[in-house]
Amino acid sequence: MAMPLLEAQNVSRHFGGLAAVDQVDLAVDEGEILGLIGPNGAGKSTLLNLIDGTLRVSAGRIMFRGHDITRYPPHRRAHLGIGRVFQKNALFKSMTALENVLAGSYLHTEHGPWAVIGRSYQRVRKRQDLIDRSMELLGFVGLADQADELCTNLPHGSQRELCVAVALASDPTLLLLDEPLTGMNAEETTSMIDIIKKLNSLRGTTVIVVEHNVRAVLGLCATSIVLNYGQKLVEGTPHACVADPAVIEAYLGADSDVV
Amino acid sequence: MTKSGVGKIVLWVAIAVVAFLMPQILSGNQYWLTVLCLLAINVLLVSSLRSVTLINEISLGQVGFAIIGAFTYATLMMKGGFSFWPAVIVSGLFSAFVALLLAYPFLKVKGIYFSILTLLVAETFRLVAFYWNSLTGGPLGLTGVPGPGTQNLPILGEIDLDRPYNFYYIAVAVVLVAMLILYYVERAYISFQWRAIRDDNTLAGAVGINVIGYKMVNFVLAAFMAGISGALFAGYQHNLSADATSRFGVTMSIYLLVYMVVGGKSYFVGPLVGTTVLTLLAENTRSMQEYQPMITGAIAIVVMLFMPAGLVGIPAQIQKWRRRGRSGPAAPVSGSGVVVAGSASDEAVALAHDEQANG
Repeated sequence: MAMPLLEAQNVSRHFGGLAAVDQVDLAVDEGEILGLIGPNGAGKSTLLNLIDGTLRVSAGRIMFRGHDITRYPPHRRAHLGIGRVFQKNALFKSMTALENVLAGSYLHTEHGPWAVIGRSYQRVRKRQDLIDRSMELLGFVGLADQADELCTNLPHGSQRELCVAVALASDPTLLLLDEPLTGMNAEETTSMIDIIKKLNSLRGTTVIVVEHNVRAVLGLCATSIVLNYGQKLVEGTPHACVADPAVIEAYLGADSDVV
Repeated sequence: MTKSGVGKIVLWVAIAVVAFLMPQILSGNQYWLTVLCLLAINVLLVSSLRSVTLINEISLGQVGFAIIGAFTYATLMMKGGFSFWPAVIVSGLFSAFVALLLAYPFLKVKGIYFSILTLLVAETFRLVAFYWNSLTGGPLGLTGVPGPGTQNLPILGEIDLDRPYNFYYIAVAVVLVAMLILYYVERAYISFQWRAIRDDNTLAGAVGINVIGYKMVNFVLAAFMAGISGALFAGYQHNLSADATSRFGVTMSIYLLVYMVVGGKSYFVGPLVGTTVLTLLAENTRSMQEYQPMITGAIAIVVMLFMPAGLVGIPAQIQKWRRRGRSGPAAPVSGSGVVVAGSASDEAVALAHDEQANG
């Protein structure tokens, strides 16, 4: 059996007495799109934070391509190929769309101690190959014509697309998407789903997506995991998950609650 | 563009010539030369403070690193038998080393917590200096700290560099070199990383930037510059005191902050302008000494309310107003006025970016 790309073994995260994530096992194979669903407060975002290193695990291990990355800080995980799109529109606020992607391309540029001090900022920024590559990424998410726009001036949907482009700039093998569709209208939703499908099929990026929009998850993912109260409730195809009585109970409550 | 570039060069050359001839202009007036030496030393200290703002932190501890630099210099000169230049450099390096030890825990916290930590550690350094009798002279401080002394220079021959007339050149030269280093670093690729960290440090980490590492480089460099400025101060004043009312007290930290904000913290020359203006103002109002803090405070308030970009930001702001004034009446439809205003402010933003990029 091939080794999974990412494997979370029995990971837990406690905040005081609360187990936000409680002994969850998770495995993603290369090229897969995994959906994480669950009611509010189920621990989905916390689980993503544990995977990308924003939070440290309280217990358990995280393996990425066979490396134990449990104690790695976020930037070392990024080096190994884990990219992240945050739930809020996390962008480099003072920069244009293009500059955002250039800043995201950090790992793609020379960044040794001599390179960062010896080279001028403007010269790195004006390197044609880097600009071409960034423009290509902006084109990929459909923002090529807004490259010189200050990122905070972009509408919400475009900002989220830009977040994806910034994350892709580091060439991740695994991309963690935290609620990419929140606050989007129907059109923006469709285009974002297209982008996710495209980056999976064309670039071969493995994706873990946390999403509330169950219909989108049904369309996107081959496998999904339902979390509730920090624990894994069900794992399987999205359709099977949604039909599972335990999941229905988690979302809507049991029959007994109604009576 | 090239026209303003030439203008800029002419301006800088003029400033350099005036700065060079200053002792002659003042015809060796000791008092004003002292003011200018201290001004140069303060400019470096304020610049080091501004350098930390590049990672979106406010350090209230630059005086702490200055005091380390000052007493290290004094100890090296009085007990270590060092000569002037090595002592200055080693003092800066020692400050940087202390900063390196503190950097990791300090930079793990952000915003006001970082400011409080730096403020307290600076005060701690001052108190240590104040009570460590055997090394720093305790409450009495140190007297007779040697300066550069009489040196035999090529061409100029034997020169007593301790005289304010000559020390002025040393202070200006050291500060100039230090500022050039800061300027260079701010143009280097590393500063793009600092900017990314300043904008959003979680995202910076997620794209692979070693956030804490880059922040530490910034903090240590700023401490080095603060240490150098402290050493220069010790070499100039010849006596050092770690009293609360000395230049190493908390009040000084606040003044440094005011100098920076009044000058314009997003501009490289902001500290230079802010420190110069407020220092000269303080000197000219010396007759009303008890009101000086109020005057400085009032100016700071006025600047912050009406010129949030600081004194250096005034030309850009005037340009913005002029542009708005020109395009305002010409707007054909009343509704488009908003659009015009919007685009003008965009241009101003772009302009500010340019200014930042070009210095």
